[in-house]
Formats: sequence, structure tokens, C-alpha cells
Amino acid sequence: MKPIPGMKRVARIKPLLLIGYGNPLRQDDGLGWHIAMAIEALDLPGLQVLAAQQLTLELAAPMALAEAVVFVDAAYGKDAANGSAQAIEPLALKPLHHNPQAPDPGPQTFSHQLTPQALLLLAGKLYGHQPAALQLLVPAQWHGHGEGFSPCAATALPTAMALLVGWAGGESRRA
Amino acid sequence: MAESPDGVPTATHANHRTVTIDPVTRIEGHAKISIHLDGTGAVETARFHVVEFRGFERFCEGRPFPEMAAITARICGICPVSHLLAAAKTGDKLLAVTIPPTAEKLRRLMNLAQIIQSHALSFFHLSSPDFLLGWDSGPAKRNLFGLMAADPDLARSGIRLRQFGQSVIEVLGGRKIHPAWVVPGGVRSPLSPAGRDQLLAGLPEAFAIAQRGLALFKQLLDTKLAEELEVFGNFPSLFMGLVGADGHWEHYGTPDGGSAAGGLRIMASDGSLVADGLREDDYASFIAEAVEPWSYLKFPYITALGPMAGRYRVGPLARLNICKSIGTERSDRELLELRQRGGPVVTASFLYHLARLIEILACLEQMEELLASPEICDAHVRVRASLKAHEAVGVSEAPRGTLFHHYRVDGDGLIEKVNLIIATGQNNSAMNRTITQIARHYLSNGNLSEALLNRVEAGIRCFDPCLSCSTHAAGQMPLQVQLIGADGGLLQERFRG
Repeated sequence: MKPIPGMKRVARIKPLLLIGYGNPLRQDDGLGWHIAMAIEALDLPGLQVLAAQQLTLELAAPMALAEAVVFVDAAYGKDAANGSAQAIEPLALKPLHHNPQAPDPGPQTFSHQLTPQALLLLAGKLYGHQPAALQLLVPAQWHGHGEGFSPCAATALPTAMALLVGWAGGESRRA
Repeated sequence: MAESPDGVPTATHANHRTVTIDPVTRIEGHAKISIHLDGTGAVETARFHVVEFRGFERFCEGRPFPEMAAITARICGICPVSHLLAAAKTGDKLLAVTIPPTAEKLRRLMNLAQIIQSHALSFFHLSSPDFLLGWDSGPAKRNLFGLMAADPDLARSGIRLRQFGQSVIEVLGGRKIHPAWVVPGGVRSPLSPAGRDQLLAGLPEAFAIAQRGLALFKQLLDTKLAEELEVFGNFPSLFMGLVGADGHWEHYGTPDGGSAAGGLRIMASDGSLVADGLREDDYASFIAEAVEPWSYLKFPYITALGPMAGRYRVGPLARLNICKSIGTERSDRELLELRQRGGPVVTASFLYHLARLIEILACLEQMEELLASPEICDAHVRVRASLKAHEAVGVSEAPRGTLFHHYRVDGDGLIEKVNLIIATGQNNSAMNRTITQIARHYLSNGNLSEALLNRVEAGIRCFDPCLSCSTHAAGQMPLQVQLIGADGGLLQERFRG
């Protein structure tokens, strides 16, 4: 990591970071949050887990201390609004693509929340280290007020958990 | 012509045009602004539309009242502590308990931390791009990334201050967001000596950042932002908020909910007290809410004065206007300077930004005092009781202003009715008046420049509205600008982002 004037170097304690986000009182929207809480309970070695209602800029700081980060979020298909299940791609951890030279429009178009791409850029520009980044988008259908998941989300949950546990284990062994 | 609570004519004339900015960027939630022009191209009115319906009040019905803190905290990921406190205070009253003194101190600590982290986000990251990069800078640059390029140290400082506020919340409640630690009857667990020492250790850096922010913004006010004081929502209105005993700055409320020792105060722009020592339990007798068909957000006003004369502002500037003093040395010096700059009662909404910075300093000073208290680590932090009352009102000062929770429960403590009056709603009229004033001043020859639109958006940001981002799944929307004729036809449409 490049030293930044005025910044103290902090030892990298956990090389892996999982950020799950969403609102747990908006049904499937809370998938990422719930998954983060469940993974945290497993206390996997070398993995720091953060559950958030939304992505806010201070998350860039712990990201800059990680070797790799995975973002877990709900993904609504275009038919979710009318109650139809979306076409589901095979659930997989995918590299998070972004252009480091062109900021993602997230922060300028909406409120207090950022996109994963924007956070990566912040981590690199403000703290000198941009971790490798993956994304797990879990199929979602319902986003009304309340708890509980749609059948589509409930079906995807165990697979999502297994993928993340496998990722953390594999990365830890490599480290 | 009839006037709506936003202070503008409600009728629509022929030959009018409407400019719509949708959504407003870098505020919390979904909203749009429409600028209504008359036949000559002059601004007739501007409106701040809130188009998202939250529906949390109905969702709460049937739930046990002790769950209300945890439920309502999820209304917002940015300021959950405000709802936690208001809900817990309402629960205290339903149980008819007085919480242990240490529990109140700990709740206060958490609210101070919440105000710090929320104000830090508002000033350092949402609004400072406007100040530092200039109004004529396009939205593609006048944002967090632009700030990062122009002054990365300032961006990092804002993050550090937010992290400090969140670390206090985490040390107290075990989690940064939605800590279910504040409960009716007190708090779940005491502060450990190690936790206290950790919080004390973070204070010097937080003070330094707050002082730097103040110095920077005051310098900008003295040089390039003088005009904004006059144009960004400078108008007379009432101001409302909590005050403590002896009229000091207050954010949590007094144990008896008002009356002799503090309570709610309403002050006019000329400094006269309209009402003082108001009890939160009586809020429905002095606050009414008007409704407009074009916004889900209501327009609260002081009942006795009506929807026009009764318009009021809440939040950082209101709190600093209505208090006699803050009660701590450094922030009182800043308060004096604010009043020298803006008058004994500051009417310039642009100075909400300065008020936020002063409040950050006040929060840090009060935090320092609370942490030095000998009983801050006392283990007695909760009392338990059974349901004693069926209706109660709790209030606290959220970062954006006074927050009311009103519950009615049945004999089993299940919620029958909920009413939440949020700070942003109470500033609704002021936001509409602010953008109208800005649009009237900066629109010339019917030229809808980027600079005008930027200023109108920034006028809203003075109030740092929180419209509840109850889901992040709504997706990213581009900025949409619409020009609509009197017949409803779309004359022009522009997009940003």
C-alpha cells in the first residue's frame, strides 16, 4: 500500500472482507444483510464481515485494508415489480468490473448511498489500496415492508451461503 | 389566489411552464423539484415533491411496543439512533418508569455520536463539493469524486469523523447501525471502563477535524459564499426545538417531557418567544399538518397561527436559535460568532451548514463531559416494569430536527396506532420557500442554466433532508429535467448522469 501523507499505517488484520447490504425490513431487499449476519455467525478465519443497510463512504477505509472484498446484494429482475419471478442466472461470484479512471455515477445521482464501484475507487484514491473485488447478486422478487423472503430468494439462500463459505475458505488457504 | 403552505399560489395559469429536476441528487430518498414559470418566463413557484410513500406507521400496527425501537430504527440507515431514542422514550412512558441516571447519560452519548456522524456526512461529503468546486461546476465533477480530487484530506477527515461517531455507537450498542441496545426502561448494558477509554482516545482527533471544518467554512462564507446567505432560504419564520433547563441547547429532552425544566420552545425570527415549556405529550394541540396533493410529505405548522404564519423550521439552526447558550466553552464561542454573522435569530437557511459544524463541536464537548462523569460506567442502567399506560409520546432531537413518536397500545402492549412526525417533514415549507427564493433570484431571461439548477438542488441540501432510504433497490436514476407547458405537454426534457 502506498503511504499517504497524514495517514497512519494500520496492520492488515483480516485479509478478506464481506459486505452484505440491504434493508432487513424490506423482504428480499435485506438478503445481503441477512447473509452477512449468517456468515458472521460462522466466525470464519481471516474474514471480516460487515452488514449494512446501504453502502456508505466510510466502508472504503476497511476495504483498503483487505486483500479481497465481496459485495453481497439482492438483485431484482425487471419483472419483480409485477410479482413475477425474474429470469435467474446461475448464482455465482463474479468479478466486479469498473473503470478506475471513470467514477461510477452512484454518488452523484443518489443520496447517501454509493455503489461498490465507487467504494473501490474511494479505497484506492483516498487510502492507496484497492482490493480485488467480487460481487454476489442473489435473485430477489419481493421488496414490500416486512420480513421473510420470496420463494425465489429462499431457494437461492443456501447456494449463496455455500458459495461465500467456499470463497472464504479457498482464499484463506491461498493466503 | 389561494396560497398553499409552501407559500406559493396554487392555481395554474395559462402559458405557464414547469421545469422538473428529478431526482434531486445527494439527499436521502427519492424526490424531485419542479420550477413553475409564468407566461413571462419569471418564476412563479418552485416545489419540492416527495414521491416515495414510506408506510412504516401502518407496518408497526399489531407489533409489541418494546419492538418499536428496533423496527423504527430501520426506517433509515443514516440516522437510526434518533428513532431508537424516540421509541425508547415513548416506551419509558408506557411503562411509567424513570430510567437510571447512567442510562440517560449513555443514551445521550449515543445521540451525540449520531448527530456527529450524520452532520459529518452532510457537511464534508454531500455539501462541501458545492462550496469548494463552485456552482458552475457540472454535476459530473461537483460530487464526492470531485472533492476527492480537490481536497482528499478533507474527504478523509469527514470519513474519520463519521467513523468516530459510529465507533461510539458501536462501543455502546455493539453495532454501528440499528443497535437494539436502547430499550424502554434504559439500555441493555453498561459502558465498560475500557470502552470509555477507547472513546476518550478518539476525541482529540475529532475535535481537530471539527475545528478545521469550521475554519474552512467560515473562510468560505467570508469570501465566496456571501451571496448565498441572502438568497438560499433567507426569510422570517418560527423556529422550534427542545431546550434544556435554563434554556440551554438540548438534544435528548428533559425527564418530565417538558414544562418547568425545559421542553419544546417556539421562537419567532424577531427573538420573541411564541411558546415555551411545551410538553411533548401535548404536541397534537399545537402542531397541525396540512396536506398537498403533489407531495407525500405533509406540511406541519403551529396550529394557533395557521398554515402560513405558523410555518416553522427545525434542526441545527433552529436549535441554535432557540437556545440561550450551548453550555460548553468552545461551541459557545462559535455560537456567539454565528449570531454576530447572522443576527440574534439567524434566518439564513444557508447557515444550517455552519450550525451543523457548531453542533459537531458541541456534541464533542458534551461527550467529553459525559465520559468524565464518575458514574458513566455504573452497572445500573435499566429498570423493568409492566405496562402502565396505553398512550404516550416520546421526542428527541434527531440530526435534522425534532422527532416525535406517538403510540397507542392495547392491554397486551400491542401497537394500535402510530404517528411519527419527522424532522424533514417539519422543514417541508421552508424547503419549498428556499427553492422558490433561489429560483426567482437566479433565473434570468428564462435561461435555465446548469448553475441555476445546481443552486436549487443545493438549497434543498441546506436542510439535509432524510426522506428515508427504506430500500436501496430502487436503482439508480438519472437526473431528469422537464419543461412542461400549461397544457401539460412536455416542452423540453434533459437528463444528467
